[in-house]
Amino acid sequence: MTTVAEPHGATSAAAPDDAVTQPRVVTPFRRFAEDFAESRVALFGLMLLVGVIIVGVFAPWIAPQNPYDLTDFTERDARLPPGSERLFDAQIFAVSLPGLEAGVPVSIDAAQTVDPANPFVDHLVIDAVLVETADGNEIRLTVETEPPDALDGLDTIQVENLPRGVELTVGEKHAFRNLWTLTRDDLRSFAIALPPGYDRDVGFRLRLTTTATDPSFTYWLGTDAQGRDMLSAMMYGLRTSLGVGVMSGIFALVIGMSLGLTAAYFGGRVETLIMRIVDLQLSFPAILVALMLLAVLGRGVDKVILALIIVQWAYYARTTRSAALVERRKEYMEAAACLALSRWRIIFRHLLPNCLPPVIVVGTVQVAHAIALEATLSFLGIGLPLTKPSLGLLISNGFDYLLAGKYWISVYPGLALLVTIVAINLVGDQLRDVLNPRLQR
Amino acid sequence: MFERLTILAAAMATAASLAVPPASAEDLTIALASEATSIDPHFHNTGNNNQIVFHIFDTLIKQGSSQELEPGLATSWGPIDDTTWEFHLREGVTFHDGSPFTADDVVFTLERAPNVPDSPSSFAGSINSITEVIVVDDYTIQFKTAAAYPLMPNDLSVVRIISRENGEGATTADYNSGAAAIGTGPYKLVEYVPGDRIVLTANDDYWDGRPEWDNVTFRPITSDPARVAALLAGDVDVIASVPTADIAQLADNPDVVLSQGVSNRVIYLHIDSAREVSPMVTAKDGSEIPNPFRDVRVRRAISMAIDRNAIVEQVMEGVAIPAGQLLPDGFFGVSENIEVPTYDPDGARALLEEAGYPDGFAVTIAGPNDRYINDEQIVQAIAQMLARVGIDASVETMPRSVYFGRATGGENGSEFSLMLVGWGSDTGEASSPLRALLATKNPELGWGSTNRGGYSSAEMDAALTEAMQTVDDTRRAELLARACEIAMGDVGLIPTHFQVNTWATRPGLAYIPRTDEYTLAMNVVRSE
Repeated sequence: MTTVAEPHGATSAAAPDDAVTQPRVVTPFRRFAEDFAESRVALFGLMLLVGVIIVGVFAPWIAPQNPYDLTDFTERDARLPPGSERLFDAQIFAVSLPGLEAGVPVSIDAAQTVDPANPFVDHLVIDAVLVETADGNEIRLTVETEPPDALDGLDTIQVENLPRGVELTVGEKHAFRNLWTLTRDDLRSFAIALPPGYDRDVGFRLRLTTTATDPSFTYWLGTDAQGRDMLSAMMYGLRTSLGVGVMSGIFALVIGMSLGLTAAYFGGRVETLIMRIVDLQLSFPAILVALMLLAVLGRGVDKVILALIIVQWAYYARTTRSAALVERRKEYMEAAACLALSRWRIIFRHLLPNCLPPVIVVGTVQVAHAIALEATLSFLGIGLPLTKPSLGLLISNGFDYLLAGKYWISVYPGLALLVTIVAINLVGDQLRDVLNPRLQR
Repeated sequence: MFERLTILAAAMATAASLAVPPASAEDLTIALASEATSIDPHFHNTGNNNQIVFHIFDTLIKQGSSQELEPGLATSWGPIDDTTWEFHLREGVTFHDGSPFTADDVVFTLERAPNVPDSPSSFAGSINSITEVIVVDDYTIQFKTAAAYPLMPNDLSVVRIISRENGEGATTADYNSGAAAIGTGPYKLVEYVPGDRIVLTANDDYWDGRPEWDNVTFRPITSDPARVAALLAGDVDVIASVPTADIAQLADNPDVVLSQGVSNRVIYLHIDSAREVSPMVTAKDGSEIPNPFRDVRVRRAISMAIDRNAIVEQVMEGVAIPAGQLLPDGFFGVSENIEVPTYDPDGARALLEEAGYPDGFAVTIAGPNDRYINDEQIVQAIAQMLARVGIDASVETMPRSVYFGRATGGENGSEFSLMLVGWGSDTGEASSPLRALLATKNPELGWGSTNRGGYSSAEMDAALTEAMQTVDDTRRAELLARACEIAMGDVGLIPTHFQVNTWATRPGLAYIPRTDEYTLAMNVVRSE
C-alpha cells in the first residue's frame, strides 16, 4: 500500500494505485517518489536496504551452507580466518600389535577407523618386531605408506591412545596428554619402549593431518567457534533479524494504531485508559521490559517477537493518536459523519489513511529499533537459540575471540547489523522529510 | 597415602625477568573469574568460596597443590582402633585476635559446620561419619565412627576450623562483615565488598611463618576478555581462568607468564538412565517415546559418537585431557583398565540400530554457560557430533544460577535428560565422584546426592561400600577402581575431558598450579 493522503482532500485518501499507470498526471505517489529521490543519500540507503532484504529473503537459496543444520559443518573448521579453504579430516589408523614374540617380525596393513572424504594416505604397511633389551623390551616399527610419497603432504603425525606406562623412543610427548608428535622421518622407523614385565597387548592410533586444504569450499568471511561459515551464518542471521524486526513491527503497528485511533476518536474514559497504559509502558526502558519478558518466556523466535510487540506498540499508539486528534477536527470528518457513515468506516476509511504519514516514519525507525533490540537481547544471551544464531548472537560469540585477534567472528556480523540499521534509518529520515507537511513546498 | 601427582606441565612459562620493578612489591592483586558468595567458611561448599576462606582459616589437615595431605592444625593423626581416629593438635597456634587454638575450637567447628542456616551446600557430608567426639586434652582429640572409616583425614581436610570465642552465635552475616571472620590462617580479612573486592592482610604471627605478601586483594572480573585486559594493563598481578582462546597469544607475550596444571575436575554428561519417560527426549516428530537412555547400548552409542579428541583439540584448543573415567591418571582409585573411549560414529549408528533406533530420536542437551571452561561451546560441539549419528540434538544453555537448580530438579528428578556437568573431587580420590554422582541415592549416607542421571547398580554400590570400610590403601584403591570399571562399563555417565587450568601472572611472578583449581595467594611465588 503506497497510498499517501493529501492534507486537504479526503478523495485522495482512497487514491488508487492505478493512478501511477496514467502518464503526465502528477499522482501523489509520483510526487512522493520524486521528493524522495531528491536525496542521493536516501536513494543509496534504499538501494542498500533492498540489497539487504534480498539477501535476507533468499538466504536459504544463496547461502553456501545451511548454518542451522548441525551436520553441515564441523568443529574441525573452527575459527578459520577469512579466505580459508575447508580442511580435511585427520586420517586415523588403528594399529594393534597383539601377541608379539621376541624376534619374530610381523607385518600389518593398518586400517582406517574413520573414513575421511579425501584420503591422502591410502594405507599404511607396518613392520613390527619385538626386541629384548637390557631395561625392558622394545617394539621396533617401520612404516611404509601407500602412495610412497604421501608423507610429504603431512602436516602433523601424532600417536595417541598408547597404553599406560608405554613410551615412544622418539618424538615429542605432549606436556600433559598421552599424545606424541613425530616428524616424518621419525614415523618411518621408531620404537615403542615397554616397561620391564609388561605383558599386555600394545596398540595405538596414528593420526595424520595434511597441510592440503579442500578447494571445493572457501570460507570467504572465515568461520566461527563451531566451524560455521560466517558468510552463511550472517545471511541467515540477517534473515532472522529482518524477520523479527518486520514481524514485530507489523503486529505492533496494527495493535498500536487501532488503539491510538480508538483513543482519539472516542476520547473520554476510553482515551484516558488507553493513553495511561501507553504512558506506563513508555516509562520503562524497552530493553528492561524485553529482558523481563524473555526471562519469563524463555528463548525462541516467537517469544522474541512477542516481547518486541509488547515493547513497541505504545509508540505507534501515541503517534497515531496525536495525528488522529488533529485530523478528527477537520471538515471532511464532519462531512463523513453527516453522511451517516458507520463509525468503523469513518475510523478506518477516512481517519486512518490521513494519519498514516507520521506512522510510516515511526514505523521505519521502529523496525530499525526492533532489529537493534533483538541483537541486544541475543548478545545478552537470552534471545534466540544458540544453534540458530542471529546477528546479535554472532557478535556476542565473537566477542571472546577479539583479544586473540580473531576479529572476523564479531566484526563482520557487526558490520552487517550496522549496514542494515543505517540503511533503514536513511530511508526513514528521508520519509520523514518528504511526509512532513510543514516542509511541503 | 596418595601417589604424588607430579605437577604436570608446570610452565609454558615464557620466563622473562624484566628490569622494571613491580609498583608495589609486597602487594598482590588477583582477578578471579567468579566471586565468593560469603566469607562464612561453612556456608557453601564450593570452590569459589573455599579458595577465599582458605586464606583466613586453617584445616586440621592441609591439602597441598596436588591435594596430598599435609599437617595443618593437626601435627599427626592415625587410627587407634577400627572405629577411632586420634588427632594431635598443634600447640602455640593463636587466632587472629590472639586467643589460643585448642581442641574445644574443633568441637565447636564440628557442631556448627553441618548446621549453617540456608546453606546451599553444607559440609555435613564431610562430618556425618563422626558419631562421637572425645576431647582427651587441649591438644588431643578423638573421633569415633560407626564402622571403619579410612577417609577421615580426607574429609577433615576440607572443614575449616573456627574459634568458639568468636563464633558462638555468629551468623553468616557476621562472617561477611568481618566480625566473626577470625581464623588461624596466613591472612586476615580486612574487608569484603560483594561484587567488588576482598582485601586480606598478612597474619604476622602465622604458625607456618609470615606469608609472602603484605596485602592481597581479590577482584571478581567475570568477563574473560576484560580479565585478560586487566592483566595486560597492569591493573592486576595474577589472573585465574585464562580463556583458552587467548592462551596461544599470551604464550608469545614476554609481559605475561603462564602456568598450567591438570585439575581433578572431570567434565561429563549426566544421562537419564532411570526414568520411563525422560523430559527432553522425544521422537523426531516431537511425540513422546519411552526413554531410550535406559538401554545401555544407546548410552554407549552416545559415548562412541563423541569425538573427545576433537573437543580437546578444537573446542578447548588443546588445553584439556580426553577422559574415560572420573579422575585423571595418578589419582587414588583410578582404574588402569579403562581407556578413553574411541570415537566411532559408524559403531554408534550400528548400536543405535541394534537398540531399535535406526532413525535416531530427538534430544535437548542442557548445559551451563558460565561455569566450566568453554561450557557453551562444548555442548554445541556435542550436539554436532550427535547430529552426525542421526540424533536430532538441540542445545539449551543457561546461567549457572538457573542451571544447577533445574539440573538437580525436584521430586521427579532432573528437568533434563542429557546434561553437561563437572565434578572436582575435593578429597582428591575416586570415592568422591563415585559416592556423589553414581551411587544409588541414599540420603542417610549422603550418597547419590548429585546422581542426576539416576544410575543405580547393586554391584557398584557393593564395591563402593566395601571400599569405604577398607583401611588398607592398596585394597581400597583396587575396590574403587573396580567400582569405576562397573560404572563406566554401564555408561552410568559419559566423561568427556579433564579440565586443565591456566593462570597468568606478570613477569617476576609464577603460579604453582593446584589440582583443586583454587587460586591462592600462597601459591603465587616470585620467579626470575
